[in-house]
Amino acid sequence: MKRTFTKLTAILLAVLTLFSLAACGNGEPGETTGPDEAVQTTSQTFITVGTTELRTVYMTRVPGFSGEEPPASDTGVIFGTTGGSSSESTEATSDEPAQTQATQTYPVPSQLALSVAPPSTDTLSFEDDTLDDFFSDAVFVGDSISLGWRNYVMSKRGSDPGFLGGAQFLVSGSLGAESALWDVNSESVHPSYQGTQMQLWNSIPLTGAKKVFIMFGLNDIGRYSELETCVDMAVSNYDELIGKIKANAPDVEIYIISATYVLEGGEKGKVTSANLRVLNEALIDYCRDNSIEFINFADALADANGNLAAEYCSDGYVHQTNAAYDVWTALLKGYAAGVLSGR
Amino acid sequence: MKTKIRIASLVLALCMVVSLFTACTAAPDNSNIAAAEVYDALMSKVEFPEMLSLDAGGLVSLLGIDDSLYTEAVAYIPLTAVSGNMVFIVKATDSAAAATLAEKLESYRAGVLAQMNNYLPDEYDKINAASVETDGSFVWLVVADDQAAAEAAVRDIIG
Repeated sequence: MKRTFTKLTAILLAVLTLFSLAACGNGEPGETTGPDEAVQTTSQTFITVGTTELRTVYMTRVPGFSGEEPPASDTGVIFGTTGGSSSESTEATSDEPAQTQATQTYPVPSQLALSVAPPSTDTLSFEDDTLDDFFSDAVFVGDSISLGWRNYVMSKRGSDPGFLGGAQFLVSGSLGAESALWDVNSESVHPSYQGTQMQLWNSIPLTGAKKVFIMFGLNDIGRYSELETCVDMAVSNYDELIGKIKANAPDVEIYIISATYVLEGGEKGKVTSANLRVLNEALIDYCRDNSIEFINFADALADANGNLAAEYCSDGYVHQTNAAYDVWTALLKGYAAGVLSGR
Repeated sequence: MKTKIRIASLVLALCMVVSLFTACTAAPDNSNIAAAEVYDALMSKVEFPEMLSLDAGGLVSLLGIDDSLYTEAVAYIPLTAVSGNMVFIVKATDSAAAATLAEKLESYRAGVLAQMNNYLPDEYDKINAASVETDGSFVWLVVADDQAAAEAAVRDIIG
């Protein structure tokens, strides 16, 4: 009797064990459903920025029991637009990008990527001259990162005078959204327009620009003791600055370019990639609420850990190489192609 | 007669003394020296990081220096945003232009100095140690890692 009872108990336990093992593999997102089978988890985020609807699809893969390793870059960030009325655009299904959309992947993993993907670099067969002309009425505003960009463009114009059209630059080291609001004095760092230091809302109208690309953040993220305050103040200062610019130049179109990140190991105080990511997301929200275009450079220059990639860093900190500015060029021209095509 | 000869001799001697004095203290004539020569002399003696040449448009855009102010100009800024090095060697059209050029170069220097303040102290010190100089038709501003060597190199040729 005892032996029978013991045997029955053992059988029951074995059956229960088998059932529980089977239940572990069923239905939970991100978990394998069985041996040698990978599961794809997808999440989709639709963001409307300005008049363009952007779709970002993040995918992760989980190795099956075969022991297959996931690819080094386990996330594809696919950029595509579903807005616009261009004849070239096609309807996107809920699971597939439209056929006209370019697919690019960046090393940055999905959990560190911004909610707005970088622009496609597909120039859609537009002539280079046409894309350069798009920036003829542009002015780039920013800090030392943009100062490097200015120098890169000026250098390019040595052999290609039409590079980026007639784009102008109001850039200055140490400039930020906050310091851009200061009075002009011996300590201010406002960019000079033709040799005279002046606040941006006074210099931008003098440039005659109609497109204003603004890139701040690095000199704002460490101003206060609390990160939240830094972010809130940066956004608030951006808003005040844009208001002043629009008051003096109501016809300009404002574009905000993301802050870019820090080389891993090069962090200084609050100037870290993680904190800048928080700022960028706050700026995305601000842009969405104010119908301003947000252009993500950060993820296109980031490594698999969400920091500025080593090949794009010139000084072990935040400043960028010509290779990085090559990426800027590709992103801006792709962005221009998108606007021109109605993508 | 003897008195007349003595007076004439005295006047002649006085003239010789005066001319000797003025010859020793007259400003050197550097008008026949080209700005490019000064730049070449500087580059042969002092090292600079990778620099970007500014053309006439760049001088207007960055410094507000119009080409009516100078007959020749050599201008370089660093390609990187984290260096305070710079080279501006300009030959003014006249003394009034020289004064304006000096003012604009100083304004540019002060602007870059402010940007480096509390940010890149070594670069700040470098720019702070430099100054705009004027000599004859030349107005120049050079900021280099070896500032003493740079100033000597320019002075050697300009005078």
